Amino acid sequence: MNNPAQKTASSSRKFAKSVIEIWLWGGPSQLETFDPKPGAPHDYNNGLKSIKSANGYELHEWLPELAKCSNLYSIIRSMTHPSPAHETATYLMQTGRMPGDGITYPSIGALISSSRVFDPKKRKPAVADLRYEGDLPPFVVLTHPKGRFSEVGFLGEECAPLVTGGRASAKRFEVDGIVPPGGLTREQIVDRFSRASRIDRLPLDAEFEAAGAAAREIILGKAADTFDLTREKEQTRKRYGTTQGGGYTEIGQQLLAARRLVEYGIPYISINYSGWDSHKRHFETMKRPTAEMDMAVSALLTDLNERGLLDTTIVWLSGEFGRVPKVDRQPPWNGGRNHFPRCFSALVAGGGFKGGQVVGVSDETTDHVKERPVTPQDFLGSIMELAGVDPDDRFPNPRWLKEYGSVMNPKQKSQCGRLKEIYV
Amino acid sequence: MQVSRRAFLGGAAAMALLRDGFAATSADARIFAPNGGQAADFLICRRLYLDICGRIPTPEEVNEYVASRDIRKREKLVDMLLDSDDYADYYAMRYCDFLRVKSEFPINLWPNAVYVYHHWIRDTIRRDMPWNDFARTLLYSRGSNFRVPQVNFLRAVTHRTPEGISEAVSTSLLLEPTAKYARFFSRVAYKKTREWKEEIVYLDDGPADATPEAFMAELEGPLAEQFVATPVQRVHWWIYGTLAKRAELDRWKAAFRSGGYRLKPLLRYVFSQTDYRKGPGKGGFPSRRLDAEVLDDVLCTLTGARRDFGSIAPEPYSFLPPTRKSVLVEDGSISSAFLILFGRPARDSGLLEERNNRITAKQRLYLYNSSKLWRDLGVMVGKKEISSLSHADQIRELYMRFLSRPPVKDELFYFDQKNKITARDVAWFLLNSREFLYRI
Repeated sequence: MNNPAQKTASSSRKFAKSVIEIWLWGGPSQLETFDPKPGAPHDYNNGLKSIKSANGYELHEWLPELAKCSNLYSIIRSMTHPSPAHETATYLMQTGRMPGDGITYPSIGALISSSRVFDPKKRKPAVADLRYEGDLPPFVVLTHPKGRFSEVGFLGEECAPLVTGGRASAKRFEVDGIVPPGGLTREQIVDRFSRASRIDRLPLDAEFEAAGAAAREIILGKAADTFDLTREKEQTRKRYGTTQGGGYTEIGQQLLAARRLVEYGIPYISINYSGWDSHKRHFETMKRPTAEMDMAVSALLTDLNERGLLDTTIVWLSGEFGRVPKVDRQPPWNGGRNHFPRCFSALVAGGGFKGGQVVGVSDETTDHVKERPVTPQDFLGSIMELAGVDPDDRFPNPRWLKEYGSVMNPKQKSQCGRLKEIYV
Repeated sequence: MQVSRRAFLGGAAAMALLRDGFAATSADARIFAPNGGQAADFLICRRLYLDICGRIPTPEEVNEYVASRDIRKREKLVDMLLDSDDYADYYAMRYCDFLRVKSEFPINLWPNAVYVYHHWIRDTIRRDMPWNDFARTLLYSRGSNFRVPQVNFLRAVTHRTPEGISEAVSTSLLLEPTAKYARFFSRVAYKKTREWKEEIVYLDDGPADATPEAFMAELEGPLAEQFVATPVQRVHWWIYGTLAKRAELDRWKAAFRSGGYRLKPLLRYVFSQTDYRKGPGKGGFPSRRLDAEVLDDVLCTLTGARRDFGSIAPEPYSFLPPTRKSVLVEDGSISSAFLILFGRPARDSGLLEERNNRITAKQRLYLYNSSKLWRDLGVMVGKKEISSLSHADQIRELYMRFLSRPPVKDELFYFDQKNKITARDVAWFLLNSREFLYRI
C-alpha cells in the first residue's frame, strides 16, 4: 500500500457485494480435486487419471464439469499452514490467525458481514454502497454451524449467522424460524401474531418488542420467499445436480439457495459441506461427494455468470487442510488419507478474481509447495480486500476487550503477499 | 381476521394494537403483585426454582407452595432447593463458566480432564466448600489432569505463560483479568505422559516465594477484600444482572463471612431480603431472559423433546444422550444450535459478560416459527393428559405448566374455543410471551 498509484487503483475498484464460502469440512484431498499427479507412483494417485480443463491445466478426472468452465474460476495449488488438527486449522483458515493469544477472533464471514451493517457507534462500511439493509441477517449459514469454534469470536452474538437448519434438497426447505411450520397460511400467521402481542401481561419491554418486530418482518416480508426453492424452474434445480434416485443433491440445492441469497443481497453466505475427512477407504468414499461437488459448483458459477452476478460475487472453496499424498494401505485405514496442511488446494472465483488461472506449484507428489506458497492470511486477506474490507485496518473490539486488534495479525505477516496476480 | 402487516413493524401502529388488547402498561398487579407491591406467591416460587435450580417448578410444586400456610414456607423452600441435585447441577454450570471448563480451543483441557474436573466442581458445590478452601485446593494441587481434577485450574488458560496464567487465575478468583501476579506462576510447568492427552502440572525450579501457594497467602492477606468480594459480586450478577454497589456489597460480604465463606448461607441471606420479594416492573424486581441452557431444559421438559448436541468436536469424540440436561453439559466445547443461538458462553475468558442473556430477533424468529418447536408442541398437547381435558381445562393446565399460574378470567375468555384457538396455539402463545421467557 506504499505505492500511491496502487492505492488509487484499488480505491477505484468495484468491490464484491457478496461472498459465497463453500467450506469442505474435514479437508478434501488436493490430489483428487485440483492438483492431480497422474505421473506419481500408484501409492499417490491410486492409478486414477487427470483430465484437461478448458484452460489447459490438469484437473482430477472426477471433476469433468469444473474442467469445462475453468475460465470462470482460478485455483491455488500452494495453500500451506502448520496445523494438522481440525479445530486449529479451521480457526486458521477462518480467521487468518494462529490460536493462543488469548482472544477468540471472528471468522471472515462475521467480519465481512458485520462490516456491511451500519452502526455509527461501532463501525461504518468501508464503502458506502456496500451497506446492507435487508431483513435477514447479513450472514447466513447453510445448513449447520461449523461447531468446534465460535464463528463470531469477540464480535458477539449480534454478528452471529442465521443458521438455516433443515434440508435444502427436501420437498420443502424448512428454514428454522423463517418458513412457517405446519403449512399455515399468511392470514393465520398474521392473526397469531396479533393475538400473541395482546396476551402479554407485563409492561412493554423495548428490546423484546424490537426483536419481535424484526422477526415478524422477516417472516412476513420477502425474506422467506428467498428460501423457497420451488420458485425455481425444475430445469434449474436439476442443473445443480441430481442423485441416482432422481432427487436433488443436498450440496446442489444449498448452492442454489446461496445464489438466491446473493440475489436477495446477503453479504456473506457460508455452506458447511461436511464429509471430507476420509481417513479410511478414501477412494471408495470420496467418488460420489466429489462428483456432486463438481456438478453443483460448476452449476453455481455458470448460473451466477449467466445472471451477471459473478463479477460482484466472490465464491471460494476450501477445507481446513488437504490430505496426505501417500495413501495409507494398512488397516484400519485400508487406503485412507490423513490430515495434511503442508500443501493443499483451494478455489476462488468472481468478485474481482480472474478466471482460468493457477496460482502456485506443488512438487511431483504434493508433498511440498514448490513455488509461491499461499498462507491463510494471504488467502483470506485477498478475499477481504476484494470485498471492500481492508484487512490491514484496525477493527474495534466491542464487549470486554480493552485493546483494538487489526483484522489480520500483523505479527503473522504473510510470506508471499495476497493474490494480486489474479486480481482483475 | 385480517390485520395489516404494518401493525407488526413497531411504532405507533403496534402500540395502538397493543392498547386494543389488554397488554398492560405496568405489570398486571392483580396477577403479579396482589399484596401491595410484593410479588405473588407463585412468582416467588418460580423465581426461587429458576435462581437456585435452573428450572421452573412443576404445577404440583407451585400448588403446594401457594397452598401452604406455613409462615416460614419461603425459607423452607430455599433450604430444600439448596439441598437438591438441581442446585449442584446449575451452580456447577456457573462455576464452569468462570473456570473456563472446555475441552478444546482455546482452552484445551481435553475431554477426560473436563469430566473429572466438572465432577469435582459439582461435588464441592454440593458440599458447599468454603471459598478460601476452594481456592486453596485449586492453587495447591499438582499432578495429572486425569487423576487430580483440580490441577485443571492451572491448565484452563489460553496461553501458558506466567502472565497468561495470572490473567486466568485473577479473572476467576479476583474478578479482574490482570498479568500483575505473573511472578507467582513463573514456575508452573506442564509435561506430557505416554497416555494420550494426559498432562502433569508441576513446579519447575525457581525462587521459593514464586509459587501459587504464595499467591494464596496474598489472597488471604493484602487481597482479602477483593478475594471475598468476588463470589459475592458473582452472585449479585447472577441474580440482579449487575455488580453490587458499595453499601450493598458490604452487607452481602458480611453475610458471606458470617456464613463461613460458603455459598449456601449467602444465598439464604440474599433470598430473604425484601428486594427479592418485589413485584416485577418499573422500580421492582429486574427481569432477565432465561439462560440458554435453562430455557432449553425447560422447553424439553415441557414438551418431552430431545436435545441435539453437536458432540463431534472434542477428540476423543464424546457423545451425549439427547435426554441429558443442557445445564449438565460439562464441556463448553459441546453445544447445540439452540444453545449457541441463545448465548451460551464460549468459556474462553471466564468473564461474567461472556454469557449473553439479551433477546435478539434471531431468537424470537426461532421461538415464533421453528418447525421443531411447533412439532414438539403438537406432541405435547396430543398426550392424553392434555388431549382428554375440556378446552378450558387445557388452557388452565397449559398456563400452570408454562407460567406457573392459572389464567385469569379474561385470559380464559380470550382463548375461548369460539375463537378457534387450539391447545397447541395456546401453548405457542405462552411460549412466546415475555412472562415465560424471562425470570420476572
